[in-house]
Amino acid sequence: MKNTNAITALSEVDTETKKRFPCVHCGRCVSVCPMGLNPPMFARAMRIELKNERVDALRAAKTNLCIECGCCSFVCPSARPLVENNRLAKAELRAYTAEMAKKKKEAEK
Amino acid sequence: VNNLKVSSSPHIRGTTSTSRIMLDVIIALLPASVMGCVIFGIRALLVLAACTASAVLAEFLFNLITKREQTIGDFSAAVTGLLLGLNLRADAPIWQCIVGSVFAIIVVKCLFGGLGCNFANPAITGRVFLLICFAGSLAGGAEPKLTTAPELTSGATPLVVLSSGGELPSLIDMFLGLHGGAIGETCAAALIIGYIYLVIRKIINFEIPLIFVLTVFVFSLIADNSLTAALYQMLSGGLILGAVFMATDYVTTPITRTGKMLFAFGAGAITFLIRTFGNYPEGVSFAILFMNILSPYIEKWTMKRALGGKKI
Repeated sequence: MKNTNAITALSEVDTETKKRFPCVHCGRCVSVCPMGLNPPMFARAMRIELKNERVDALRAAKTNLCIECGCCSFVCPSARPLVENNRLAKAELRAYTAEMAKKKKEAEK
Repeated sequence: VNNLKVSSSPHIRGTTSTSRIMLDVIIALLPASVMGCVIFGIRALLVLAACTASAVLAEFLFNLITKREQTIGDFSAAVTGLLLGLNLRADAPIWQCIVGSVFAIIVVKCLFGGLGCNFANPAITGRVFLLICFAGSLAGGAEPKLTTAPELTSGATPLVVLSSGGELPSLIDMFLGLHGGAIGETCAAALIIGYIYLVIRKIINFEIPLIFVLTVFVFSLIADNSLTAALYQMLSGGLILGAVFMATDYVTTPITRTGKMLFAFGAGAITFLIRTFGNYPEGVSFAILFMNILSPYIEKWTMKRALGGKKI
């Protein structure tokens, strides 16, 4: 229970899941992002198969600068999982960086 | 416990949806469609209906055959069909309308992965395809039925008159759409109503059509050194239709706002170049098609600088 920092009561309308469409490039997420990021770029980067290329693309898109405010997901007319996707991306980036650091340390030994 | 939904924040989402946006575009196209039918007669309605119905049907059948999720509910196929119809002459043969719609939907949109994946605007590509394949029956425009004989006659559009000489309709007629051309492109007044609706509903950025049209206007003003000629350039051809409904297409324009503005400026400049120096009297569709292909590069180039990040 100590990890629960809030309980939010939502009205019935807000709990309905919005129908998801493909991204139509409307640019609403880009224009609302307080950090000046491009959320569809993360989504595109996450679809890259090769791990090291994917991480490079995520770094180039400045994924780690996302503050997870949720503005992009809120405005998205296609209900894309932008913030969710970015949380996964950040976790992957962290894990990869840690792995690389560990490998480097072992190589030094 | 079965009633629990687990989701990642934000738990509240905005109310705009992609299908609602497409519906708004259709609503914005209605004044131009109605005016087209009033000006060019009942034959125009037949062209619009044939295009819209065949576009929706083509997408429906494609999804059925390829066993994909049905996507006609997002109305994007209807928008494409209606836009293509508005870009054709009222006396275009119906089978050509259907060929154009099917090409636009199947080849340009569905084969590239459906909504959001097409590299060029399907309606524009469909029009260009028809223009090149059936130049004889689609180039130029039908004469308005309101002012001429009951039979549809084909005549020179103001743009042809502008480049080869002849008598031009008055500027008021130009604004109200009483001149030769495609169904939806002649009535500037109706298109402006649609533009205002889209801006109020926040579907499009207000500056994109303005930049497009004003670029053509200013360049013509400099080239011809006459205000009337520039006004005719602005009101004739598919310029306003293209600027309001096609240069603002989400999928095929850059995602950033500066990118969209650059897109509009480039399209305006190319339209002017084609109209002034090219063989075709009309350049709007080619200009937009060309800028569609450039838009990924514009997008890359105009990427915003992340707060606290180095310039990409």
